[in-house]
Amino acid sequence: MKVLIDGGRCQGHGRCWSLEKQLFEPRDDEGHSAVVGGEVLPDDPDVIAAARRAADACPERAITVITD
Amino acid sequence: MADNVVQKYSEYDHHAPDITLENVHRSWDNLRAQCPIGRSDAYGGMWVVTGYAEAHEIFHDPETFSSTPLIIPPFPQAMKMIPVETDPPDHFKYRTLVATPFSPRHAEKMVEPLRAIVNKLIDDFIETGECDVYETVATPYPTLMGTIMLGLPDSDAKLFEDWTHKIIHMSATDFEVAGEAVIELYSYFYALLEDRRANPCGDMMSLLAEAELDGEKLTDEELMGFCLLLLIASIDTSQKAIGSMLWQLGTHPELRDRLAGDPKLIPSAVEEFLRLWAPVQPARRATKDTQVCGVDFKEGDQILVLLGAANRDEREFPGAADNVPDRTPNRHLTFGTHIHRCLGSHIARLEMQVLLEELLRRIPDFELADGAEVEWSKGQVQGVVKVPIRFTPGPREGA
Repeated sequence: MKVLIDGGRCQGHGRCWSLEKQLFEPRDDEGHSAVVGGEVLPDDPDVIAAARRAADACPERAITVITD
Repeated sequence: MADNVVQKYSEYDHHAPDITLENVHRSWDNLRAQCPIGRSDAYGGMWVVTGYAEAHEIFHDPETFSSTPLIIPPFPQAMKMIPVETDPPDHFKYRTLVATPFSPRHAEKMVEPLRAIVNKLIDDFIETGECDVYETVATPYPTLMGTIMLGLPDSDAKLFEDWTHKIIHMSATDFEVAGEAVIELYSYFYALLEDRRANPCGDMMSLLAEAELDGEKLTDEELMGFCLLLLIASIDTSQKAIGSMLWQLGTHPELRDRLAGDPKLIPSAVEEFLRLWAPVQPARRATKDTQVCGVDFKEGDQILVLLGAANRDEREFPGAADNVPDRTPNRHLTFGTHIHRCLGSHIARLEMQVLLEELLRRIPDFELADGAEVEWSKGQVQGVVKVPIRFTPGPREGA
């Protein structure tokens, strides 16, 4: 699966990296988000669920989770 | 009506003397059920937003909806508060100047100092079995955090609390007292910045004293704009959010026990407390005639965006009045949204998490004292400001 972060939308709320630390991390001083280790992640149901929780928590709707 | 629930938008006034904790949210629900945006007659006329989608849309168009003035009626301030009352493109330049001290990396470094502050505050009352935890924790904790963040002497904490209270909560009722507080605050920071220019020490005030925009040092107006915001935003907002959180825990033993028994829930629970108890209700001003969400705004119209009401909109949060500590999704707007997302949000969130971890570890059975009366602070920074509690006394941990 892939997790995409729309850099134009992300405002550094940090909801994703504070709730799902294993998947997301801040990439700058504002707290704009990045996916740990890059956007392609294993098709593990737990990882997919965590990515979806983070996407759901984003007030800017900046995170898209793509599964096959 | 006896319970003073507001029936019509035209009657809504966020400073009305009869607003209480018992009616504040019922009034908002009542208004939102009629329409997510309505027109109040207060303060020369203002739009009032209670809907989530509508608040979201207005915040996402800062060119059309300026954040100056942020306050209705305005503070007796001479200069805009920076960066929150600035608009694009200046906003970004100002904000970037102070981004590093508020960064997630820096916030993380504050966790252990915050823990030490909380535990010292708890030491001061834990042997007694009772206290007003608003006075012993919710008041001093954000002030002490603010002094560390900004590089101010903690011996002046009472002064900062006094100015902050007068400016935020008396501007609508006693402009003169609030005005004097602003002047005292400006004089204090003017002198402090002079000192930091001569003796820079790497703190926030030194950073501002030495900061440059487009090759020029910041003007006195810009510096005072920064100082007013940085001080009042660090202190008053967190005090109210923490007061409300502690009141809710003190009146909901099952919620308190659940968090005490499962501290891993605390980060998510803090987001839920933030959703239910948003302290800040900011304003916007239309910069042109426009139609948004079916409402015709005229250039110059002022708009009070009740983020606390948006956060209780059933269309976005099913069962909105309930505290669900693991609620998902929880896209609350308490820290604002889009370009004005609260600069202090990273540190504020950790501040509340650390407080809950330590308080629930050391006095896990605290509850509201018998006969305690709730005191609600209204206006644009809201929350519970008196939380008398009782608990099983415990030992001090510090020297």
